[in-house]
Formats: sequence, C-alpha cells, structure tokens
Amino acid sequence: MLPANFKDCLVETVASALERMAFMVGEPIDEISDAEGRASCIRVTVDGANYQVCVRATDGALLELLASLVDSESFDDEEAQLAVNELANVLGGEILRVLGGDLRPSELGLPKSGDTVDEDERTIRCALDFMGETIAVGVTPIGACP
Amino acid sequence: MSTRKVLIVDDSPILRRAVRKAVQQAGVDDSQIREAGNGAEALAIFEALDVALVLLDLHMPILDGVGFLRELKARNQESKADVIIVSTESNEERLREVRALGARDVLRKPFEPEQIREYVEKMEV
Repeated sequence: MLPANFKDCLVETVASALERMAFMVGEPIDEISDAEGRASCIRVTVDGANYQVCVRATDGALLELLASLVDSESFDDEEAQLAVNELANVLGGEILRVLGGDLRPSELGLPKSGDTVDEDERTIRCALDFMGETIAVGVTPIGACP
Repeated sequence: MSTRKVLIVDDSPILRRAVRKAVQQAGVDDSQIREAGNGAEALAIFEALDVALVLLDLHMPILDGVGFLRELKARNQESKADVIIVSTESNEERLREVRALGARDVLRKPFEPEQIREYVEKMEV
C-alpha cells in the first residue's frame, strides 16, 4: 500500500525534480488523457514491496525538457523515447527515496518504453501542465505487499 | 593546456549530452571529454587515456557503476582519477559501498549544472 498522503508527496516530488532537472515549472492538473504522449515505466522496490512508476509526457513537454538539458530544438522518435526513459529513471529514483528506499533495502530497475502494467484503482496519479503540454506520473503497487 | 580527460559514463545518451554540456560550461575543452555507455566501455577508455575525472552512473547494463569501481580497485587504479557518482541512487548502504570502492562523492540526479562545475574545478590537472 502507498502512504495515505502519497498523492501530495508525489506532486511535490515530481514538480521539484522537473524544476531542478530542467527548470520546468508546471501547474498541477486533475484531468489526464491517457491517450496522449509517450510512456516509460520503471520498477521500484522498497523493503520487498514492488511499485511500477509510469511516466507519460507529451511531445511538447519532452521538447522543453530536451531544450533545457541539451539545447535541442527538435527531436526524432528515438530521442523522444530516450527523453521519457530518462524522466522515468529520475522520477523513479525520487519516488524510491520518498518511499523510504534511502534507508531501507531498495532497488531501482531500468526504464522500459511503453506501458508494462495496467494501472488500476490503487494507482496514485499526478499530472503537471506546462502551458498546454503535460507530464503525468502514475505509481501502482504490484505483487504482494510486505 | 592540460591533456587530462573527463570521462562521462551513463547509458542514457541524453544524460551524457547534458553532463557534457555542463562540463563544457565549466571550462573544459570539448576535445578533452570522452563518453562511455557502460562500465566496460569506460574501463577501456580509462586504461587507454589519462583520465582526471570520471562522472559515473551506477545503473547501467553490461557492467554497472559498482562493477566499474570494483574493476578499478582490482587493478589498483582507483586513485588514478577522481570518480564522482552521478546517479538516481539514494540507498545509503549502497552509497557507502561505492565510497568504500573509491568513489570520491555522490551527485544525485536530478543535478544542476553548477554542481558539475564544482567537481570540474577541483579536478587535478
């Protein structure tokens, strides 16, 4: 199970990470269109409990990220997927820390393109809007709880 | 001008480019920067060139950052360069392990370019 206040932590964590990583400041939004954007998922394990962290970002948001990180003004499909994979890696690491993985046995997997788990009623989601472009994050407990 | 190199080791090409940009902004000529996509590639470059600073990710396929550090230690080369971990890793036990293997410091992703500059400025040229 995820902590009761996890949604608030998730919004703060994602917003802070994007600001530090790429000077991207977004507004939290409620509505997320699952059909939009490119996705990457990464597995987080803390104290034997497994979570899937899935990140979905629109191309405009990825372009803003790449412009800040590496001065890109355009990208191809491969670069866009690499960018969303790196987002999953960084945000997965931040979420692992929020879940206590800095002090307890923990492991962060490698990011995989696309959705590898169906999100369900246990999924905690957040999304940030960057002037019409979106980055959304969903965290889903998977497997048995410790 | 110094010919000692900065070696960036990360499986993400985008992160390598981002770190490279930060290293350049810190004043290192681009000709002195090398990149590797995993620990095995990094070992080959490390052995062939005079590397002063390694900016090392931990989570990589083929040979990860811990494996790279173990190899350096096994070859008695861990003191040849400063190794800075640049990683999402936050587990304190694992970070103690990489420090014991010779890593000088840990920079957690997401990092700010200014933090890379600090390590470049301390680099022994």
